[in-house]
Amino acid sequence: MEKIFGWAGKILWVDLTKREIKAVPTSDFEPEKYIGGVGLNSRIFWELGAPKVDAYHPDNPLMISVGPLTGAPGPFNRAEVCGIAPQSYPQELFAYSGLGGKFPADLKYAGYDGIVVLGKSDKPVYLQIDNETAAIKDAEHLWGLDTFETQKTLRNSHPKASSVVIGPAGETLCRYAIILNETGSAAGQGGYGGVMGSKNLKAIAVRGTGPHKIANPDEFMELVSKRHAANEWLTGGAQSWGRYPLCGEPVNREMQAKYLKRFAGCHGCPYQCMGFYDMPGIGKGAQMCVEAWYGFIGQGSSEGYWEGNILSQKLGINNYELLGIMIFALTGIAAGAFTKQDLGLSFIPHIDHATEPKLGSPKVHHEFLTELLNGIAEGKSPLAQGIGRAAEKLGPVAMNVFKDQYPAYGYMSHHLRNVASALHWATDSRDPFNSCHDYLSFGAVPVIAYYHGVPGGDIRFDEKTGAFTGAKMIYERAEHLAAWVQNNQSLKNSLPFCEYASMPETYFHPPEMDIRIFESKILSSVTGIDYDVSRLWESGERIWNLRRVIMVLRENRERKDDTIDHLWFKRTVPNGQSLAAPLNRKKWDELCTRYYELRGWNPKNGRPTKSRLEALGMKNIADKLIT
Amino acid sequence: MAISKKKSVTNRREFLAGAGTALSIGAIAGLTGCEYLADTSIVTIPANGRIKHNPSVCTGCGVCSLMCSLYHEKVVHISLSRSELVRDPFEAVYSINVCRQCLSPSCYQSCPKKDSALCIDQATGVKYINSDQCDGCGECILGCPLEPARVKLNPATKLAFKCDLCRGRGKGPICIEYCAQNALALAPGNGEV
Repeated sequence: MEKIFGWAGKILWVDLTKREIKAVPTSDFEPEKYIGGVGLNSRIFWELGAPKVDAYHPDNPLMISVGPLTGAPGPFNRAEVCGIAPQSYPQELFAYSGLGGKFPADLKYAGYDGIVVLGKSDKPVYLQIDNETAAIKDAEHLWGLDTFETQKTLRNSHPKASSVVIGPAGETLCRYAIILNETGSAAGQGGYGGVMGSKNLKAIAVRGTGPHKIANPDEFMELVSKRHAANEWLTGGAQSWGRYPLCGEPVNREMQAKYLKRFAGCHGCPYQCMGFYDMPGIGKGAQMCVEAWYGFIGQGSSEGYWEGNILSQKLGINNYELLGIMIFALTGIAAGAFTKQDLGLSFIPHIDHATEPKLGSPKVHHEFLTELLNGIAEGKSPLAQGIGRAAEKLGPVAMNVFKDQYPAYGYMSHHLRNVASALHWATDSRDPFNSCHDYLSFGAVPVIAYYHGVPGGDIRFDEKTGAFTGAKMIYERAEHLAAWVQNNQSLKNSLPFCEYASMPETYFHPPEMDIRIFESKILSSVTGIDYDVSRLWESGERIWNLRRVIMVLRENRERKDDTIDHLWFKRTVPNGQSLAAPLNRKKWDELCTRYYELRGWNPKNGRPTKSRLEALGMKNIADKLIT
Repeated sequence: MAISKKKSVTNRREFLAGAGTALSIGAIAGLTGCEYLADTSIVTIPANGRIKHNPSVCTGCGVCSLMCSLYHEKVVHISLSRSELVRDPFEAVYSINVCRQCLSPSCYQSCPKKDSALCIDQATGVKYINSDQCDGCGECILGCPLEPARVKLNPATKLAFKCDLCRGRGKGPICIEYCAQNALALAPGNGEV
């Protein structure tokens, strides 16, 4: 067998119905073209026939893949989970979610590029991988345990293994249940914890002690040393909102002074963007940005913020969705759309204790969080199936409140800022927030714009005044910016390369170094295959096209579906964190046409064309698509 | 259309300062230190020096052991790293098993070919293995008083290997250089096991 670098060369293929395990060569899925992570998962999903089944059907494959860079020192140690996502609303769509931690690298060291889990076990099981060997094991003793207890129990039986697990929320098929590694690294979006639960798969434990082979180690070291010397992987903006809670100064200060034990982060990454906190009586764990979901709103207490995170992580609930739930609940109740009782809540501190310091005592927050989160994890809360499905039952006003926060396929937070990002939302199959930092207002857009000839975005550089101005709602060439970020996102989720450690703001020194030059060099040094910038970029475009083909064939995606909700053409949410003005229908339609033309797709129906797919080396896929 | 890098950075900083959000304050921090440094400094190994680990700042990322194997073995392979990271991510407690460069080294005393296979650097006191002379008998591993033994056997080459403080590397031990948390340092040996 030819010597392989970067990739391990095998995918672990598990059928829980038949209780069969085998290893399939990664080369069956064209890894040189689709790289790994989301690209590899999408290619496997395609090979499985992109099944038109529900998310909780046994034929929905749960795919967890790493990439050729995974295992190497640097911000590369991530895995991507793909499958039909129960969280998508209104239709369940093929989507993705990434996680870091220790598990991804250990999977590579064990000798696998990915795991595909099909079927359904008739009783709770976990998958145990010890380098070359793998076994399906009884998990009756783990079922019902929280995510921390489950991992600690597995560590007793398999001391050097790292695990991804689900909590009670995954077991009850909550549509936004997470898959968690350690205390703070989760595949949160998509609801893939529920997919594991539907298969009766409680955990995957992996011990890997083998090599990650690098074709040109000296070249790799040289590239790494330059990033190190440039200080990019040591300090950066994401550290400030990852290590410390973004809950206002009193909480931030108190948490740092009293409870911050040390920084934390993913395996092999020098960036270490998380903070590990230990609050007696509540718990210990790592936080990164949205883990502060409960503390984001109002000026609450440190205890409330921390219990919100620890309890949700233990129960296995998506913190990002919980932030959406809080906004939905508070906005909807204020608008008279529904009552707290409609949401299964006896009180909400932000309403019922609004006048008290810190929105009430720690006990108040404890009681609220316990009622909300246990209700979700037990499947009893009206919110357990997600806000969209809850809003349907709560009536049309509730639906409008929902759509204000959920423009397309997920909670927007501050990730819908300009026309280009709206186009990205409209053409993805989930919220694209893991790549939307490229659109945000940290100066990223002008950097990309100037060095890649993409004059879009919400910020412009005024050469006369030498300052950036906040011009918004720019339609001109916004399709170029969206396509650039989408291709870049496809690569970041496939190499993989962490979003936080690769943001242009901390990373972009053109012309000698931009992210594409670095990515192509590092991938070439690791794999020994010559990826120049254009070849790598073509891979990004190819992965995006494959996902589009899956949308078209499996989900009947058409041009008319490529939109954010119609409300956003009439009004916006005036919070300074979203679109500055309503979208203009005519300009939007023209923009979409330009986008399809840029992509080489049919502007009439938004389908990829055979000729474009063939030009991207996807003839095998083009042959099955009627355009 | 091209604007100079320096100008661009300055303007971005000004822009961000104006934005004044909690998030952008962090982004400003990221703007500093973007220039490439030409670090040619030579690290001096102290007499009887050893790697010292500070568990109060270590985050357990393991960059130390990855860089170690990459430098010495040209492969990322935690089993071939000279230092072994022991992690408890639920308590955020981390320790490192690495050679302590004992003043009375049992590994050296146990080596049947001492001074040709297992040697002591006369200038620094570093105990190192001369691979050309090692027969892989494993006596040094048995001789190490620490658990687990800080000398290990490479299963592929059947040769012993151990931390030699990256002897001959001008910038000193690579694990120290790449530890982003400054959790590793060179400490003078004090004879403790």
